[in-house]
Amino acid sequence: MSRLHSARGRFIDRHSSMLLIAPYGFLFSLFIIIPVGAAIVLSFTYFNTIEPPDFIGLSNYINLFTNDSVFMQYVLPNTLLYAIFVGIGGYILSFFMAWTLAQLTKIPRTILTVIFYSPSMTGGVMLSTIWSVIFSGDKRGLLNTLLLKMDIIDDPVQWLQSGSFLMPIMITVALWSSMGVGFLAILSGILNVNQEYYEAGYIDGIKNRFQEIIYITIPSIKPQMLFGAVMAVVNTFKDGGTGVLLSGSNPTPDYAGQLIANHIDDYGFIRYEMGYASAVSVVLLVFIYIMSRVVGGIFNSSDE
Amino acid sequence: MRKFRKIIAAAAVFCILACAACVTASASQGTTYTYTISNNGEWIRTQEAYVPSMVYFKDAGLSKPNDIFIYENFIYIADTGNRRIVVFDRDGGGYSYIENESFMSPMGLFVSDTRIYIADSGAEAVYITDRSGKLLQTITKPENSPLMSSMSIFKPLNVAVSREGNIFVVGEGSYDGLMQFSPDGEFQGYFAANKRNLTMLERIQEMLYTREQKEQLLTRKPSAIQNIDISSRDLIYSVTQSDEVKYSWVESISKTSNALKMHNMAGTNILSTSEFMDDEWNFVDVASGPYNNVYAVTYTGLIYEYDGNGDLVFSFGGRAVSNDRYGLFTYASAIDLDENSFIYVLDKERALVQVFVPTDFAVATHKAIYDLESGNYEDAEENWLQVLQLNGMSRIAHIGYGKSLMRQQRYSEALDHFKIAGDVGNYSESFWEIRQAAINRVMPFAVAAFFVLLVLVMVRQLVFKTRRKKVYSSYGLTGIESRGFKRLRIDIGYAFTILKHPADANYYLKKGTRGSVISATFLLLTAFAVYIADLLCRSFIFNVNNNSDLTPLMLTLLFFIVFFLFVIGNYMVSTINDGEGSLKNIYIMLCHSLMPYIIITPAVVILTYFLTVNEGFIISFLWTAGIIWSGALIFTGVMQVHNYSFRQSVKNIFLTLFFMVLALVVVAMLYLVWNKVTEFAGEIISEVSYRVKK
Repeated sequence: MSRLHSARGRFIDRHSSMLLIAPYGFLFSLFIIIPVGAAIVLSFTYFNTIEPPDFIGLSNYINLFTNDSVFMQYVLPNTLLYAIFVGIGGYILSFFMAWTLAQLTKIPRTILTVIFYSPSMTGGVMLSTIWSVIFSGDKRGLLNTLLLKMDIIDDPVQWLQSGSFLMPIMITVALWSSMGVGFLAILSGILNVNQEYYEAGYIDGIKNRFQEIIYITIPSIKPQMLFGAVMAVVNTFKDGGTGVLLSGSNPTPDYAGQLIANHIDDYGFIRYEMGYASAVSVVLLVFIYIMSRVVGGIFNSSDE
Repeated sequence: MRKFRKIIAAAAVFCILACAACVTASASQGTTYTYTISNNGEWIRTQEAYVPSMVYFKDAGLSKPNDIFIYENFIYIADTGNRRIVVFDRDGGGYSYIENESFMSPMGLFVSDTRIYIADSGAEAVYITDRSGKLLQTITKPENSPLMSSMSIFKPLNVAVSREGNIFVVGEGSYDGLMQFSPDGEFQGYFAANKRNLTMLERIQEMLYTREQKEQLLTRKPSAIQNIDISSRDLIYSVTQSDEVKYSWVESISKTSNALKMHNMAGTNILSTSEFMDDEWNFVDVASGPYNNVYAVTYTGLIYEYDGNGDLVFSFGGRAVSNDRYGLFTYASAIDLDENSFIYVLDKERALVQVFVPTDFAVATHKAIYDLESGNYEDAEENWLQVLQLNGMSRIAHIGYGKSLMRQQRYSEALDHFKIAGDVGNYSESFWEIRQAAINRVMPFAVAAFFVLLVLVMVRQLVFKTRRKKVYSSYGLTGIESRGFKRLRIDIGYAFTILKHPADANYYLKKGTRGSVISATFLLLTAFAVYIADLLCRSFIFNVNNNSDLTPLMLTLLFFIVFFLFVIGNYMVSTINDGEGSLKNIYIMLCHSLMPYIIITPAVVILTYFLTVNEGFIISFLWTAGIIWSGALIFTGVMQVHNYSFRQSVKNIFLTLFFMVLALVVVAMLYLVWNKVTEFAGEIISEVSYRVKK
């Protein structure tokens, strides 16, 4: 008691929270705030990793939006298309997969959950072992063999090197591996919905399973849905590995599978224009922020 | 634009002077009109580009000659009927002959510094002689070549030889492409085969038939190449006659065939990137010109000249029907150029050669094309200006002049000409340069203004610390007491609610606490204005419509007919399907659902003035988003207004669309028989009046 009354005691009491937060604060600023801040600062410079950065004002941003025809003609539309299909499609897919799995008994559910979840963990390896074999460009590729046998095509198609096929294949592969953390969260959410709600719902006149989902399941797992949506947005926007892994090159053929992350890689680690790459990353950061706000807005507004 | 007016004025003056000059000088007129492609992609007449001048071989006793080749002063003719090659010395005027008893029917020939190559389809051989006609080597059908099947025929029609001595042979019915031989006559393989596209019927057959059935079908061969020429850069030009088009009475198909091709080393066509080329399906021969230009002739005697990008420069000539006028052909079979770009065309029926001489206009055009391609932009500008003064409507002249200005960094002047020519790509490129300069000029001020504003806002927040209270809209829970104009203002303001709360908004619109027919009509008229602005006021780069084709009446009718058909159709369909909404409800709902379109499209139209083709996806994305949003609002609106479930609404909308189609069909049918209906009515009336009088 007496300690609290002394001035020193009051000081410690008031500021001990600072001490408690210090380890976290230190790590957070070391790994998040400083790198992000550095990227923002670098985005105003010309930096080729050898010479010291050279301040050039906003010209990186001006060039990005007016001069970079690859960014405007391919990267941005591709990213948007990819985000719409994979983000929304993958989100809906993981919800329905989770809902379907929730109907099963425990043991098959656990096994199937692991199976569904595994592609998102082992992405790179699975991509090269499964999808590259299926879409291989020679006669022995699985899809080519099948189509040749059915007389649909005359020559093997270079699936992964063609500008018109790469994007649909990327979307397919990404949908296949979209059952990630969001899926797990939704699944656990569905499993934790109080069963009495459903009974009450049926007494109040719910007619079928679809209404059950709309009126009970989704409102009950709103936090998990929000989490899943944010994860989907962030993941699709920062995803860049699929196209490069499938086609084996960055830039992807005809820029068909070029996403923002590939563009950053291209400028940062192939051309060593770190300043420009930072500017693109900052734009990506702003995009993700805006999209997360939009997603949050959608989920919050509906419970007013 | 003022500059352009000057050009037109200058052109007009020039034309008058030229006409006056023509009268006195009585210059030789072309037999046929010369055409080019106008600013809006249609054929227009232009000045004479080539006039017929001399006639060779008139009484030389040629019999069904098939090929002409000009080398230095000599004209070589493959005199097929007489089984010989005729050589004419243009300076000396004497004939000489290359004859050999093994010649059966020499169809095509090619002359190099030391050799003459003769393609003989009757003897199934290509003969190589020296310039005096001594036979050096004979290429016959390659035996035992793994590259050529023993079944295939070897009937050489024409031959072309590259600078390295590689021999390219056109074979009759050789659908595998050109046959390529090494300088010592060894078969190297096929080159540049044409593609055969499947027709719809064939695609279906391909899908459904069994292997046995497919074997009974005719084999589907691509068309064989008809003739070739080799350019000074050793690129091969080929012309193909297409069978499919021959039977087609739809004229537009003949445009898609790309009958004229320029092949790179891999045999790929690199002449025209677009699928549409102004060509003919019955080209028989091709000749390459000195400025990357190329000439092709049809057997009906039409001569087309293209520039290096496959764009049509001139088209002239034609068929002589039952008369022997110069400049026309009974059956043209070959074309070649001499060093002055005079065109020599061989007439197979009449067994003579006609020469076309380029006029000053054609020479000026060629010079302009040449200067532009070789990078003398100042000369090119002058030359194109000269061409423009002669023909202010010529598309290639406007593009050429614009390009020469653009390369000299006179972007804003270039813009006018690209706009006239309808060249979006180059217009966008010039506009980009202008915009870039403007951005660099304005950017510092913009950034400064941004920071000043930021500071002001922060200061304001510090000074007035009170946070703005969030005002919750009652979404129409309370009735509105006011009437008249004030009510209208509130109703229009309420229209924005539908963007975020479509269900609530539609509920109160239906109840009548918010919105009215007047405010809905106001929205509808705004939407109409926006629709018109979207069609007519977009910048040149993004305006896909040809404004001169759109009549205001048609646009108005289109918009309102579709809108009111939907309203009426929806009402009719819903009344027999337990829908709750009245006609007024549906009208108000539909007008309010147009809000996203009303808001987004003007932004799109304004953006088109700042964006280039490069950023074009932003325009299409935003525009589509607006349409989809409006569509979604209409759907939820139908659900609310009629108190429908999801499935009922889908059904309702499909039925409404079906009604709209049906109504249009009925109107169209009524329109078709309208004469009969009035006639019928008139007859009844006259009949009745006749009886009554009686």
